[in-house]
Amino acid sequence: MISITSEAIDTKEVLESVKSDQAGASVLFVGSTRQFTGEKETVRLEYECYETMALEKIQQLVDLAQSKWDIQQCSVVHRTGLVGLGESSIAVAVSTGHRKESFEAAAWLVDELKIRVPIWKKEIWADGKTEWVHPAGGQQPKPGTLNHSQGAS
Amino acid sequence: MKIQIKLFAAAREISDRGEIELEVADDISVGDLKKLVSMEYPKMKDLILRSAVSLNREFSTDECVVHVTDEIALIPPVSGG
Repeated sequence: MISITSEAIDTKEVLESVKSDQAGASVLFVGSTRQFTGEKETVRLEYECYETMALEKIQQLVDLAQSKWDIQQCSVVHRTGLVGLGESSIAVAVSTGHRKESFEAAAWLVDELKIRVPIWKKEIWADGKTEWVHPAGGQQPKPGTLNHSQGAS
Repeated sequence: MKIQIKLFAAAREISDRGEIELEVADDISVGDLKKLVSMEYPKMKDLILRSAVSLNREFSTDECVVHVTDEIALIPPVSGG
């Protein structure tokens, strides 16, 4: 299951979607809106995406993860629009034969998504100010970098 | 040739539009296109310096040549998750 949705993410459903009789382990990662970043208080986040490219990039990451680990099932769901405190913005689930691969693949997928998929978040602070998060010094994605020698092995 | 560039996040808010249209040379490179957009929209200059450009939903380099049929977008540093 790969999707981008403006609706609340049903994390249980995402976990269910990777069920397999061949899997001995399933990992579910859920990212949610955190109230405090240091001293600054967030009241909600707003996500925006370039949907067609984001879906293609997520599919490429899933395909690559499947070539790196022996994955039974894999799901990635990202939310857009306003996401309140404690609500889920992303859910990634992976099932594999053994737990080590599930943990590694899920962590890799989340790490890669954060630098390669065109989705952006805006902080809506408690003082009413807003701020798009465009990380400085981040790795600029380049063509051809999404290959088998990248990332964890 | 006339091209459209999709804008997102801070770039969209700074320019107050989700897409801009520009008249550019036929064989313009991505690097020159970024310079041109920076000149036309000086408020976006700092962000453009840190942004990538996608052509047909793939990240490009400054040396890539833009074609009139390409789907072009400015991709500021991403922050999903």
